[in-house]
Amino acid sequence: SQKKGALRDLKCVTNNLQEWDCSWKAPLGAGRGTVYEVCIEDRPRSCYRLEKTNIKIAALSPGDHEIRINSLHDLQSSMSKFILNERNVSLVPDTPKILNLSADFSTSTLHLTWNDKGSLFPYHSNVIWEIKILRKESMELVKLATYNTTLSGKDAVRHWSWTSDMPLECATHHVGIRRYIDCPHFSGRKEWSDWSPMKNISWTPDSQTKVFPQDKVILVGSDITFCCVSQEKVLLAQIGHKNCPLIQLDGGNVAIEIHNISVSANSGTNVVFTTEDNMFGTVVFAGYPPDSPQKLNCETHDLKEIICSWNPGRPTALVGPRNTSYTLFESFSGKYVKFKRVEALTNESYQLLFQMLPNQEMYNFTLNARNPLGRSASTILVNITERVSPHAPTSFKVKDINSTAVTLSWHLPGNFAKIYLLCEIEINKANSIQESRNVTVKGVENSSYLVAVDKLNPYTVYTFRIRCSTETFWKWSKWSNERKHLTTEA
Amino acid sequence: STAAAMRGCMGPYQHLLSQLQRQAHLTEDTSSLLEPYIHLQGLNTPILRGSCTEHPGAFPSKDALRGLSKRSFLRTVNATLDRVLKGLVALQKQLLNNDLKELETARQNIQGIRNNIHCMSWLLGGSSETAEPMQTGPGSWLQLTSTLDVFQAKLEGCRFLRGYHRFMGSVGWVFREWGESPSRSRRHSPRWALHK
Amino acid sequence: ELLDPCGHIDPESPIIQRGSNFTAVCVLKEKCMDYFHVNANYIIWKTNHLTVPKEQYTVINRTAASVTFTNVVSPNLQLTCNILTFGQIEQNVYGITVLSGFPPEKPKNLNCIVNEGRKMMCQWDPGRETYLETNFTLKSEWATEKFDDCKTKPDTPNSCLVDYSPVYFVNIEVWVEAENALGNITSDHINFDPIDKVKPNPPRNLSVSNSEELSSILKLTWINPSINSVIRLKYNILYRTKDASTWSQIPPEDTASTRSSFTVQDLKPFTEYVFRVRCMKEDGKGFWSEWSEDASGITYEDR
Repeated sequence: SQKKGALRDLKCVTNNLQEWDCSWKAPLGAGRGTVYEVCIEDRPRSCYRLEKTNIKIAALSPGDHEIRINSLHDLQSSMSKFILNERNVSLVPDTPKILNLSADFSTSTLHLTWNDKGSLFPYHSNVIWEIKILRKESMELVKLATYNTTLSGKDAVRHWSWTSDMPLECATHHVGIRRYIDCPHFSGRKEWSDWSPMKNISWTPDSQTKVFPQDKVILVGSDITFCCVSQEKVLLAQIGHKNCPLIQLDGGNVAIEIHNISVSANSGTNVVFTTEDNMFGTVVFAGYPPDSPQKLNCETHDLKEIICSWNPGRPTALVGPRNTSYTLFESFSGKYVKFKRVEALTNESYQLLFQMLPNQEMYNFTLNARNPLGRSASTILVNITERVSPHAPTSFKVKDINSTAVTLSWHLPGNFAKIYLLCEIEINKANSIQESRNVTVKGVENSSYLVAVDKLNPYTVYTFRIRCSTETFWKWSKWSNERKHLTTEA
Repeated sequence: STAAAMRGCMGPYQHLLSQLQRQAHLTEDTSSLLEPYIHLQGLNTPILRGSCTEHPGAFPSKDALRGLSKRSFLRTVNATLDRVLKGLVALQKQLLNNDLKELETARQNIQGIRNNIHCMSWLLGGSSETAEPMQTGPGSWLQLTSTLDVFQAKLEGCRFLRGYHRFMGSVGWVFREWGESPSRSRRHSPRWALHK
Repeated sequence: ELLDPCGHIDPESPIIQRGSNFTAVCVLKEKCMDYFHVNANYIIWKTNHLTVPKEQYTVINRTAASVTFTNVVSPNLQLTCNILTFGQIEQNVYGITVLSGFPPEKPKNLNCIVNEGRKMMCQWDPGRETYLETNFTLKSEWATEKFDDCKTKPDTPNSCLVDYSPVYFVNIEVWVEAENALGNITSDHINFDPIDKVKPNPPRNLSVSNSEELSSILKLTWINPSINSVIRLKYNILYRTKDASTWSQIPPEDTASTRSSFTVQDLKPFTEYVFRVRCMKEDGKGFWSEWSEDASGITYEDR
């Protein structure tokens, strides 16, 4: 309730809920030297005399409070009364201040740090930070992000990162931040703080390189922006054979946007910017993450060394240093073996050798595949004694015992002392049916084996050959060489 | 040893010179290596081809070669081709596993040329090792160092091969100027003077 | 468990020159001699299970006896040393195989061919059968470089495909070394430029077209093999009417230089002709390519 010529528009703002900053408009005609007397009715000894139109007062308790403001000017006075309630007060947080803005140019990532000044705020409250990123001198808004934290009564340094779609080298980026405190204890209006002073970051050329990003590896089908730092006017930009529309940046810098990039050849896709007298370029490698290794199989020829083989699946189009690397990890022992093929085989299967461990039959293998675009894995659990695929028997010999019996001897390298071998002897006699006999022999340390074959015909030419597997059958070995033998006369 | 140098070096001079001329003709042909490299590296656009120029001073110029004695010329060609072989090794590494079979053919042909140069030097009396080779300019020899980004490395490889083919063309030119006999050169023979 | 062998024969696996003499010694083990109450006098030699006459034996001492054979011609002799145990049971002590054959002869007629786009193949006449495992190694070198040996496969002892690509315009020295258990020998060296040993791929896409103006001609066109970028070619062209069985040949002097077309004249009008063409290096060094695929065409009607 104000009379004509009285002061008006009492407004109170707080940034920490502890102190209210109230201000009013001076009465018409009030000039310099006007003195104001402000009294808060239900607060003892709370009259203040001041010559300015705002006053900081301790926050008032919830509910209505009468404020009386007398303005004394040229021996005239006028008095205004206001009803002040927390609800009419606005919570406008302090303007935040960026501590540090840095850039990782190689990954086109901005890193922002600031202090949330939690100590200045009495209550735990949710804070919404709004971060804006502007590009170029024309300050085009390229990103408006929100980031939620909580004020904990203590100062906390906050970090936030953003990966730019455009290489940071080619345009100045400006960053500002503001905040909104969503304090449940405060019934007044809550407003955004002012924006922080802008911080900016730009690249200072440190090499001949003009085009960015350099040697980037990306997923086929992605969108990517290339840009060129140039003092001369760029006339043309091409990716492979295709011309691309130029996006003008500051100075002579330009950019091109590629959408849904197609797979690169092994040597990568060339991106070229051309000026009147020069040409600058880079290479991008558009490929795929590694497929899960397929047909993973682990077996052994000799119970000394385990051979795991697999099929890499879909080609990744990435070779050399960007090729897929494989690691075979065995979880029981914690041991692993690395494999890196700089040259890509055709879709032929790949293999790794893992030395068997004493007294370990169960092996839980995980084959991890990894390239710059991702990783995948396949696992296999094997009892290796059930996965023996012996080498072909060698030094296969036939010697007479008597006219109806011979001994067969052969060499089969391997740690088979603890298991039984199952061998198949093929006996061929000219123009008669082929005979096959199975024999189980105990594995021996020295890998030399001997069995007798009887019930043969005297003075007859036989052809013998042999192959072996393990009693718990997995695969036959290849056949040994054949041996022709004439049994002795009866 | 001299015996080894003897064996395998089948003169006569004219046959060996004809072989060297044919080899130079074979290796100056850009379709034997540069063109496949350009296609493999995706450099087959007018702009990129335009940038694939020989580094000045990387290889001896034709005039420089023409000014050399026969033995210095052979020595210079031999030394330059030795460096080309090293360059081809660097190029192979750069190509990772990309199969550029022409690189191996080029390597073999260069080995063949160096073999013939060895025999020609021997035919001209004494090994070519004694004559001083012409030093190629300080110009940037193939710099396929790891500091280069992939694009620059591609261009460097291209410019190196451009120079190599041009150099072999110049070598062929000089061999064609050699006379019918070891001692004379057509540039010094009277009949040649008439044509001038 | 089989009897531990009762002795052994020396030499273990002999290889001898056919027609020469051969002696083997059987040495019995003491343990065995005590067990069977035998000594060297009880040794019985057998070849391919036939007993050897006693005259050929010589008892050297209590434990050893030898046997001698003259003019051995059998390629593969199974020689066993046996003992007569308990006076009547013949027991095998040991057995060996005696191989006989010849040292390798000097490989002759060494020649090489470079099939276009493939590696160089050299072949030679290996000489008489040696009856022994004989290794042939093709050696090749430049003045400044030795190439990897080319070892023949057992089933192709008289040829070898080198594992390096041919390098034209560089003379290469090639020879063959033959070796078996009875000796080794080297062929004569040959020295040539691989370009002079080329067998080009045949011309391809041979096509025939007639001429409205001239009913007596047919024009042939073809695509030359890519070796044409390195060597000049000459051609043979054969032709016959569709129903004829014998071919006529265009005079070689008319096709003695590189070309990719040729007009055949003096043909009968309105007649179907069949053609084939082959090529080789212009100077006649090297080998003729295979014939191209046949192509046919019909001359135009006479006006």
